[in-house]
Amino acid sequence: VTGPATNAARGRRPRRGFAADLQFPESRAQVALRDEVRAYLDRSAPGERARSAAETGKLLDVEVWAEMARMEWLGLLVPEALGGAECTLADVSVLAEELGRSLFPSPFLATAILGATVLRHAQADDLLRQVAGGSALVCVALDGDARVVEDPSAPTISGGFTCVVDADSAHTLLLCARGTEQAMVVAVDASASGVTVRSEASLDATRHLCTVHVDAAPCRVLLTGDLAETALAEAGTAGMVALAAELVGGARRCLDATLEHATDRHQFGRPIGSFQAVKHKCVEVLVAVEAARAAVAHAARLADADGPSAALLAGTAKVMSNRALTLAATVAIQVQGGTGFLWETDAHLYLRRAKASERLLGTAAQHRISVARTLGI
Amino acid sequence: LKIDTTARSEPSRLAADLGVQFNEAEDRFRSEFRAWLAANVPTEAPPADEDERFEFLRAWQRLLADEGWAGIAWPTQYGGRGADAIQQFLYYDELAWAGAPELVNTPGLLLAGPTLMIHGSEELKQRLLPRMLSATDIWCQGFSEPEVGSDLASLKTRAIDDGAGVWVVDGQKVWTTHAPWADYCFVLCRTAEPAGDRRYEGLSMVLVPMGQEQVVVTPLRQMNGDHEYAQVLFNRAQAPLDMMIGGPGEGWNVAMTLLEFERADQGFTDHSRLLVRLAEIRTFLAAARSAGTVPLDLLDDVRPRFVELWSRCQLLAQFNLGRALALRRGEKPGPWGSFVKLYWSELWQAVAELGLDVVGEGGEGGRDFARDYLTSRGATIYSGTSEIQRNVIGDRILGLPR
Repeated sequence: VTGPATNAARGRRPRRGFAADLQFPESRAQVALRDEVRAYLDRSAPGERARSAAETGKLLDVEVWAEMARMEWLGLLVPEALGGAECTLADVSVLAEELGRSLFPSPFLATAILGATVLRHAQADDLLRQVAGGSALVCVALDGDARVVEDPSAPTISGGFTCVVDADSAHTLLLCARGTEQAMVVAVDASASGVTVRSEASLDATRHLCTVHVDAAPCRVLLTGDLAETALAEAGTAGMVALAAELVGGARRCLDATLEHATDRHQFGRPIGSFQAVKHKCVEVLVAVEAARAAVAHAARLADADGPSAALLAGTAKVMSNRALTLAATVAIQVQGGTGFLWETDAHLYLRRAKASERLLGTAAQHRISVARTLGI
Repeated sequence: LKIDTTARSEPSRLAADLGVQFNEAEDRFRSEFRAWLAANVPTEAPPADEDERFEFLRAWQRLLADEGWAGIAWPTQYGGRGADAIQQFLYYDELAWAGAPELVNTPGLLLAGPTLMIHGSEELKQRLLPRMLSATDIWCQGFSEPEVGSDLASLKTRAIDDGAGVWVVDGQKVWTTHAPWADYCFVLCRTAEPAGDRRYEGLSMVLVPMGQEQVVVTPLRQMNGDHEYAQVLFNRAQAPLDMMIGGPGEGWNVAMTLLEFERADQGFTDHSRLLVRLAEIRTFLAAARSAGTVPLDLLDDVRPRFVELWSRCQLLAQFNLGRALALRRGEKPGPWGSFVKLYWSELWQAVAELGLDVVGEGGEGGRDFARDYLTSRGATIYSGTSEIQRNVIGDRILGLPR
């Protein structure tokens, strides 16, 4: 989030980063990962990539994807024996937070988080190896339904899905089929007959939400019954944690930009951040951001420990983080005034990401209902 | 008050897994205290009469102190357990879920005591701390004045060394919690004129005995009907020269230490206390639903609020856990206490409002939510208003210009 240099009396700088003395402490390895990721991502300004994605409609830069594979980002959830780094979701959320901070456009969430989790459950070793190595792009369809016709020699699948993240760059579509006797997860080749993938209209150009239709498309059954349900549930949890971490990272970046502007910009002979109307708005954002970040860290730890409430808290984290980013981006726009409303200022790109994410991996209302059910309210 | 004991059991417990493994010693500490509470928490409700209630709570604290369960963070030589921050976190969690009465001498236990340990003389510590712990001596805090609230350094109460070994204190304090029952007041007052605009200098923390006729306590009736706090008039009140925390002129520094304790500590107590309230609201709703007395539109209104508040309670628990870990690492309370105080005080107000809306007035079968609702309105005022907390957070955490 940049703005033109103002009539700045640059002296005291606003503080950046998260609160070490409020949040659950990060491990040394996580701090190192964060530094490495940030150093790479900071090579170009965040808005640059996102604006270019908006203008070209292009999400994937093949060279960048190969570099991500080399840095082992794509294999974070892939077992070591298959060329992955076999990390925890707490580690993943460090990387995702940085990706979100710089609004990095790539099919990372679809392939490295959702895809890798399902494939790990399916023990699809070849595909996992390719995911970690960067040669396979996959997507997972969670919203929607389909029916598999189980011809033993050539099973096919028919049905429709919405909000499939980055399906248009995937080579392999992982689809769930519950409209059958037992739940299934099948793999479908993106180029197979009967497969239609269409990118839906979205405010956020850094992530493509797609509609997928399959009409008697040939498929390979990866998982059935409880195994399929577990894989889908865990993919959902991992996805929510990673998405929430991205949203938190973006929110903190918006807050940093707001603080910078509030410190540099002078009116009435004072920096505008000294006015309580502005200062207290910034504090409101901080509260939302720190709360969301605590929620993400909590959910990640629960998921890593296979805690029974992991999915529930991951949903909470997603809702809190989404709200934090919406607030942080709207405040960034408001506090930066006319500058904040410019296309060239990054704040709106974060707001777009926030609004588009609301439909993804469960809306706030859906998560609220499942919490209410679990709590018996 | 009886707590819904199912609230803690799977699958629908309200206190979600914290996501950490406590070590064996911590687990042992927790189960020891849980067992002690199960055997010792009074089964009868606190008396309605305020004086009787105070004595009831004093007796409860004495019982805790006798068994080493009051002031657990205090060093063992002063009667504590030297408990670290994680043990305190567990301690408050157990107190809340056991439905135990509140600790009554908190201005002493949590504020004056720890501050005395840092800034006080050994002789004072030996003399005052044990009686503070057992609630034999009740302590109150003399900071705010009729004309002095958030801008504390502009206070007008004065203490003068009369040359005969006595501080003579003149002035007026207000909003002094527990003053009607207190034996001592720690009074922030001016002992020297400030040089120019350095008004943080020349302040001192004098410990004034309340049992003298030069101290006049006028209880104030609060909006919840209680007289818990009072106006205190010091009319040439006397305190021996050694009754001071820190030296003359060091009062501001001492007061800031104390405020950090105040803002840091309250957070530890409150996620569990609020979850207990939510458990009560849920129990009430469940009973009303099976009796068919809940209108559906009420449920539509309540569900999203309940879920939101439950989520925020989980986050408050995570903040408190994060803070406890930081304190155990040896970090100072610092301005993040303001953050947690802001968060829990506003959360309490929202929980109490939900309780009143759902359970209604009268406190049928448990907590009086009407009273809780009224009492909670004070939380965003005492210990620094929410507005002041936002200033502190903006200035000291975000580093925004003043």
